Amino acid sequence: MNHDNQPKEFSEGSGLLGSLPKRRHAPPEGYFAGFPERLQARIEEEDLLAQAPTLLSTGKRTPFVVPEGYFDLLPGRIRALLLPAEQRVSSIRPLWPSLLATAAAAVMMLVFLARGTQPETTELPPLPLLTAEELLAVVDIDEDLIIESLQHQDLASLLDDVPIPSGAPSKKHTAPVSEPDALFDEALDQLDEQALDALEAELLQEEPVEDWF
Amino acid sequence: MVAVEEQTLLAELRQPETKSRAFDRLVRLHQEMLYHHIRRLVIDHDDTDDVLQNTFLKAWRHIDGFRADAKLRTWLYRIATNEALSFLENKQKRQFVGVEDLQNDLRHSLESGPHIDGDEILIRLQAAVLTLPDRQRTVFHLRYYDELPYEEISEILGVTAGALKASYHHAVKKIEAHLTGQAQAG
Repeated sequence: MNHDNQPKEFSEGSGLLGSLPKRRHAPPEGYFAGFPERLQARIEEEDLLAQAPTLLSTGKRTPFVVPEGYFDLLPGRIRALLLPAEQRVSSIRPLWPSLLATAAAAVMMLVFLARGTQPETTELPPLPLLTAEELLAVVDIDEDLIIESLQHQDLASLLDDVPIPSGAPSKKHTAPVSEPDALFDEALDQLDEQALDALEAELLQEEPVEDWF
Repeated sequence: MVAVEEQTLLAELRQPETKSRAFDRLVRLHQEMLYHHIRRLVIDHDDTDDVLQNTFLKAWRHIDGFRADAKLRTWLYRIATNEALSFLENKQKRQFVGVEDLQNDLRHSLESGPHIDGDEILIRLQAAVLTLPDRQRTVFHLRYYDELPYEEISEILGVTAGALKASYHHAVKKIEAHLTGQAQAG
């Protein structure tokens, strides 16, 4: 290259070019260490593939097709798999009240069956009343779910304190239940067994069928 | 991937606060390369998807133990290869079948499975590769398609570079013989 033809501002030692550091492009570390061997291997391989013209004619294509958008979605799917357990709980939160209800029903059923298998006595033993802790000991439910739900309940109770606009149906509209219940229990005590059976049958008939499901 | 970038990525993968985002980058960087490697071994797309997910899950779990005396790419290839070969082995055990039955099963996926391009010569080539033992076809794929240096394949498979070279030469000759034999028969 004829350096004499360079404009003065690009000549060595002056202008922009002169201010740039003189550095060669550095190859990756250890690049030249195995270079002759790699070159030899490449030559051998070219020779080998020259003896396999049918293979060579196919190029390096494969018949495998990747569904459209697969690689766009995969990172998100992997991320979802790696989410810590506590972050995944939120997606199943709505299920736990029904699980608890089912578990409670199962416990009640067991108690009922246990009572049924005992010999008849004039006085029935008192029903074992389970506390929440006892119930949880029987049923395996994730504590985190319960805590989360209680937090939601706290929010619900806060809403109870929100003033209700006039004209809207009041929550206090419903009659207190304690007094009629006591009266009803007293009346039941006065009925004999036959009358109780009849009353029970009548109540069962009145129950709408759809409520059973 | 440039060594400096890899060092940065590794440093981020080791910090709890940046680990998740860095791993996402790692997945995006290597997903296609690993997918094609696994796909060539297990053939079916859905199986590939399962194996690829397991590969990344294993990488996530063991990234803290990665010693960086190999490249991340080599390490991922190693996990993916182990996962794919284990998958095939388990498949064979689950179905109580021999090696030949498994090869027939893979060949069936190749010829009539979904997500396969109907180009006959490409299917014939893959069918020829399927006649090789699993390890040898792994060597063939890594060298022929992925063009990895023997030294790197040696790190992936734990076999000496000399043995790999011999294995690859044999594989090429067997495939060519298979293809020409079929061509003459057809």
